[in-house]
Amino acid sequence: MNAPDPDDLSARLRTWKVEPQVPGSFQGEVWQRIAARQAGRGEAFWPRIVQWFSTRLVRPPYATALVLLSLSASIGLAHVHAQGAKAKHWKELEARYAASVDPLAMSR
Amino acid sequence: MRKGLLIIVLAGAAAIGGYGTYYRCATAPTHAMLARPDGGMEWLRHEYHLGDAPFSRIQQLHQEYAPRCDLMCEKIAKANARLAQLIKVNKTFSPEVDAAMKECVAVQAECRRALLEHVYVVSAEMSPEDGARYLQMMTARIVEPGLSHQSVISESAK
Repeated sequence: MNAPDPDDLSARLRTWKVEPQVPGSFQGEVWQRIAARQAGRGEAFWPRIVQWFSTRLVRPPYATALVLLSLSASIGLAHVHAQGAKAKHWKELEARYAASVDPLAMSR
Repeated sequence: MRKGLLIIVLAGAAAIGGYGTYYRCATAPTHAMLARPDGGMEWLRHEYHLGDAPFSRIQQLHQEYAPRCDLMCEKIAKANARLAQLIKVNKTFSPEVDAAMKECVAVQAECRRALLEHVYVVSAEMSPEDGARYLQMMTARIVEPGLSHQSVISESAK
């Protein structure tokens, strides 16, 4: 068996050209598909949330967890606010005591 | 769906109820102290960890000091009013204005002296640590009456 002439093969490869046939509407169709998928995702968000509420949330463990979580968060917030209010009251009481023994403060 | 909404409403109600109950319970003692006319004295009792015996002695001292304090307050008000009146009438710094000014300063010095004396007597009824803290709080007010005691202390500590 004769081996192909390497010079001949190289010459053929050099002249070989690939010309893909891309339809003119290709780019437009790609963007249309992307837009359709994005719109689909946006529409699916709220129905999915509603579905989650109507299926999962009604289960006792989820419902109990939500109630307990809300209660804990509100108590945490109340604790922070109460600390601030107590500190303010304490300052007011201190000022009241000091004014009760300080004639200069009383005369103002 | 209706059951889900009911659970959300229930969680919201629990949150509001929890917040209100906790806040009310946590601030109730200081609220009650503020509402009382002797709230200042109650504050002193709690802040400086006073037992029944020292607290009643301090209350006694406070009651004895109160008429002196009222009298000094009246003196200060009179001296201030006199000075204000003289400043209104005199267009220049006259000897009369000078005398009224000196009278104001003298009355204020007398008041500060009396207050400091009272503060020392009260602090002696407390534990050494609390007494020192009370003295620091009150003397800061005497040194710089317009400033809060923290700012006075921080300034002098620099």
